[in-house]
Amino acid sequence: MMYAFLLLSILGLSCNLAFADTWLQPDWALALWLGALLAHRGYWPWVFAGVSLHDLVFYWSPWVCLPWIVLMPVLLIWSDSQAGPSLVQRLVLMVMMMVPLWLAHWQVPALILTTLLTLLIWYKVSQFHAQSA
Amino acid sequence: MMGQPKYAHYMLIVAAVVAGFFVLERLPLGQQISLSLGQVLVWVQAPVRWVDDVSLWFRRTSEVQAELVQARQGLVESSSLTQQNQSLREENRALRALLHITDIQGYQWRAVQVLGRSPEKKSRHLIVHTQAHEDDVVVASTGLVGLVNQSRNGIAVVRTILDGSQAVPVTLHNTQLAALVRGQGSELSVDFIPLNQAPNIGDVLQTSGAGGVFPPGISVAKVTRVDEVPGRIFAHVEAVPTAHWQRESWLAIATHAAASVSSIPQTMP
Repeated sequence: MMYAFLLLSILGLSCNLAFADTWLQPDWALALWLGALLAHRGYWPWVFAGVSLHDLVFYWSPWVCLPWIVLMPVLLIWSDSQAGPSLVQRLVLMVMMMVPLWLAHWQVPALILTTLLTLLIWYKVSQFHAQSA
Repeated sequence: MMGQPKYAHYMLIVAAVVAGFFVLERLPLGQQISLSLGQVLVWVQAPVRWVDDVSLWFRRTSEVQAELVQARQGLVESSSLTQQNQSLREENRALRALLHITDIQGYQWRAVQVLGRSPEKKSRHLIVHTQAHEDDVVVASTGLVGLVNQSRNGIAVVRTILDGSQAVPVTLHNTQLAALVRGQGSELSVDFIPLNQAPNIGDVLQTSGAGGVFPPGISVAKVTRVDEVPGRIFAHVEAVPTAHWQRESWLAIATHAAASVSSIPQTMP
């Protein structure tokens, strides 16, 4: 599944680059990787690689979203151990991941779209895991 | 106690990733990936072009005829404008010769198509469809856009003046002012403007030609804010780019004439 995610994220990056001037779009690649990580934190190596690619393609630097996403599994483990696994801390972390995009001057409607897409992907990947378990 | 080795394990991984990316940042990896994605962008845009083409088949004939009539009228108007333009250009050339004003010489200009742009509100990087040299100057009809960073296989990546690594020597028309415009992400800062030479809000700064990278006389930035900072000899000046590359499909690239002779096939006569 992660190979499909990688291909989809490359397609998403291409769509963001190709139609940046014509359509309001979410950050397809980030939503994909964030949704996957929130659904199953064991995906972190793929997510790190995918978000690195995302940062390098858009910003030519790995320091935009990658440091935040690197912190996420650690924060998830820590918050789960403190408060028990729940949706609340995951939702907070998901919103937290919109901060680097906002700092990188993305439009607010695009951030909202990214959040909604993340929720959808998170739900679908969680469903996939539940079925396969 | 059970958790500590696990956390140490994660911290080691994080440290390794961070260190790895310090190294990667030094390499032009992002530019190389962007260049590789150039062809993918052409493929991604292809279905949109096909839909445009196919939609033409479904348009009513009367609409097309009306557009044809309108286009013919436009053609007549534009040909008269072209004639006017030619006579004005001749007049302008004569005036320039009289005033000993040199044109932008030593550069070869050509139009290039924009394939993609980074998705921020004001894009910092562009991908264009051309073979170019590093540090070729990219210009929109409204002003300076940036410099070509890298080029490969007919695709070039452009770093716009909003990028933090860009610095453009500028001046105000008909003044001795020498300042430096630097990218700040979504706006520009103008450095080294003495308080007594501070421009007014709305003034347009132009390339000075200092350094030899940018041709002189191209509009760069419109001043939006001028503040006096106590204890400092330079004013705090903010500006916005005059060029609007976010919506431009075509831009112009200037190649140094010496460089263009050597290695750009499509610009050769």
